[in-house]
Amino acid sequence: MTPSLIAWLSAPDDVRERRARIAEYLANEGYELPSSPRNADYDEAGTVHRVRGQKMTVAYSVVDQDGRRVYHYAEYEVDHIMLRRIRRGEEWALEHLDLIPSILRRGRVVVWEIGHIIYEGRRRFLSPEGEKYRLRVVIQQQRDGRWWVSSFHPRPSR
Amino acid sequence: MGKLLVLHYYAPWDTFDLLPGERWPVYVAEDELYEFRLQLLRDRRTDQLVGFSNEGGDLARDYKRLMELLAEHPVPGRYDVPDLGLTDATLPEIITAIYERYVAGREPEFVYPIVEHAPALRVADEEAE
Repeated sequence: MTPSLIAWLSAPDDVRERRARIAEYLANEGYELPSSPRNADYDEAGTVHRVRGQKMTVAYSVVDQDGRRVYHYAEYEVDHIMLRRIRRGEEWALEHLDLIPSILRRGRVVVWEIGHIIYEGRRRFLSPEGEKYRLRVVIQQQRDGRWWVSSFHPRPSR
Repeated sequence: MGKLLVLHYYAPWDTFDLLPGERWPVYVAEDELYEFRLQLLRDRRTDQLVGFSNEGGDLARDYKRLMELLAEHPVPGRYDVPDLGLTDATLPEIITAIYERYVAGREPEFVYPIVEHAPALRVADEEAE
């Protein structure tokens, strides 16, 4: 384990530079970040929203299976989803980040409660150790009513 | 002495990871039992319970219910969390310390909506008559 890796990945002020460092690290580990998904809406890309007091840049949005517009933020993807997967040794899952729109549209709803929905993709994936996983996307609702992607993580599939 | 846990807190989203180190290969072993408000993390090599997370949750919203769930379904073990100044602490003690440090007393900038929007009507894919 390399204690300083996360600090190095998080160091640049610019989100694109942080993403570039993560991409470089992943490439060294044999993984590749996917291109932006084609089946997403980019009309508001680059727009800045305030989420819990933090400025977040819209990467894209998706209208989910129940008609909610769900925003996916560039900073959140890099600083939380990507770093978390790296902390947990789940780098392989980042190769499938472009599946978020598909999971929101066609995934199974695992949990639906006020302001909080968990979707699970229908496809199963093998981890490098050969374990079967499904990918989950969690969305939450802000005070202003907007929905946003708050997690993308693998969950073992029985 | 308990097992070492390193705290990674994601403010202002009120989520945390508790792992044995800065990075650790884990998988989510259990979350349904805790109504998806807590993930039990197991080491991918040894299968031992080694960490906890509330990724995808919200400690400000979930704390009270999470304490109830942990009372109903206790997690065994005692842990040292130097980031919180805790030694030989139980999981509820650790989560309470996180809550008190990062959530309690904070001006609420985020309040969960109390009204759910009605989902859009689903229409079958059939040709109009």
